[in-house]
Amino acid sequence: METRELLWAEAMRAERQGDAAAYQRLLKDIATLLRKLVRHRLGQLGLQTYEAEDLVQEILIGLHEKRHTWDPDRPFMPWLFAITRYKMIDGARRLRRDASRRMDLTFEDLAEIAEAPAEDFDRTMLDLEHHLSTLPGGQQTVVRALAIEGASVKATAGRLNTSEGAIRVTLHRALAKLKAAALREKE
Amino acid sequence: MMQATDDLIHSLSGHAGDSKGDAASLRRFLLGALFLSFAAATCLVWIVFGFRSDFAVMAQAQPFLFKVSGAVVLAAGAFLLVRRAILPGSGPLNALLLIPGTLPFLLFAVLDPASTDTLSAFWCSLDIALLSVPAFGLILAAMRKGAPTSPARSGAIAGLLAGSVASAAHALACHNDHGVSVLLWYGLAIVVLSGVGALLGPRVLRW
Repeated sequence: METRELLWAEAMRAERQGDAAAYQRLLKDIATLLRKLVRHRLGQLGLQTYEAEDLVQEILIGLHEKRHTWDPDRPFMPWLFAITRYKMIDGARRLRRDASRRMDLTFEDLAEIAEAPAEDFDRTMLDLEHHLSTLPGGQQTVVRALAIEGASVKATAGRLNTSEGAIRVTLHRALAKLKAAALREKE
Repeated sequence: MMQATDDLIHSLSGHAGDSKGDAASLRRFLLGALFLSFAAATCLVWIVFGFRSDFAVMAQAQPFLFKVSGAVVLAAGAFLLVRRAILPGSGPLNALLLIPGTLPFLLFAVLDPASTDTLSAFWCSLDIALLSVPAFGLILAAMRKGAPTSPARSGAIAGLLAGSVASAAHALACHNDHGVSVLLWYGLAIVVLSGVGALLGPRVLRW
């Protein structure tokens, strides 16, 4: 950190003398550091890391435009830190704004979704599958046959080689289990 | 993507050596804006309200000295904070710097607690707010040349400085010579102006 402070402060002084090569090296080194920092931070926030390079560029432009506000009698790293922090907060605010714009709902969106029952149906089916899969095998077969395929009790009993009464008892138990599971989920 | 960044760095480095000014020239510029602010507020007092007719007597009396010393010391503290606010990494925006400026006002209020017409001086606050407008503009404009990295706080400090400058100028015309009343209405004006600055900062001082 201390050698970096010295090297970077030296490069900043060189920039003021018009040393483009030293300045370019400095900006590249800073970009490498910023890239690591920004990717890490965006990841933590659950934001897309592909925004990182944009943000790195914004910070670089910011510090370039405000480079005259660094006082050569003062350490360079705190200056860089303050600029970076400001630009990162600013960038995060912009990303959030973009996200809320994309999330913005028009009445047409709502109507469109409401007109399309297929998606709702899919979702119900998924839930149903999920709950059914928690039942023991025999109960699953009975519920599938009666409730989903719409077969009669008699046909189901015939297919499974058992009495109609046994089918009714199995169904009753399965429904009780599903009901209990649904109640648990609500809580 | 990284290629784009490299290109950007290449074009930025072509501008090595041609930044305008440095930290020292920024500080000088800010000081110039401060003096101009004082001058503008004083002229405005003279044009709008006129100096007090008993000026020579008033200028040596206690109330005036309390008002002016408080406002000027407060302005000095706020000025130091503004300087820090526009130069990143040049020190914390420490509110303790504002304490000395409040002492003359507090002392005045303690020495002269019996004020009968506290409410009648409400106009003082409005007058100070009016007088602060040119100072506010000048200070914010000067700050935009720097790099304020906490815009809301920087704006609040700008409002505080503008309010202090306006208060010092207002003392030249002010007939409000009661300690508690001065503390109340000068204080209100400065606090409200800070609040306005905090709201303006993120819009005006963005970069």
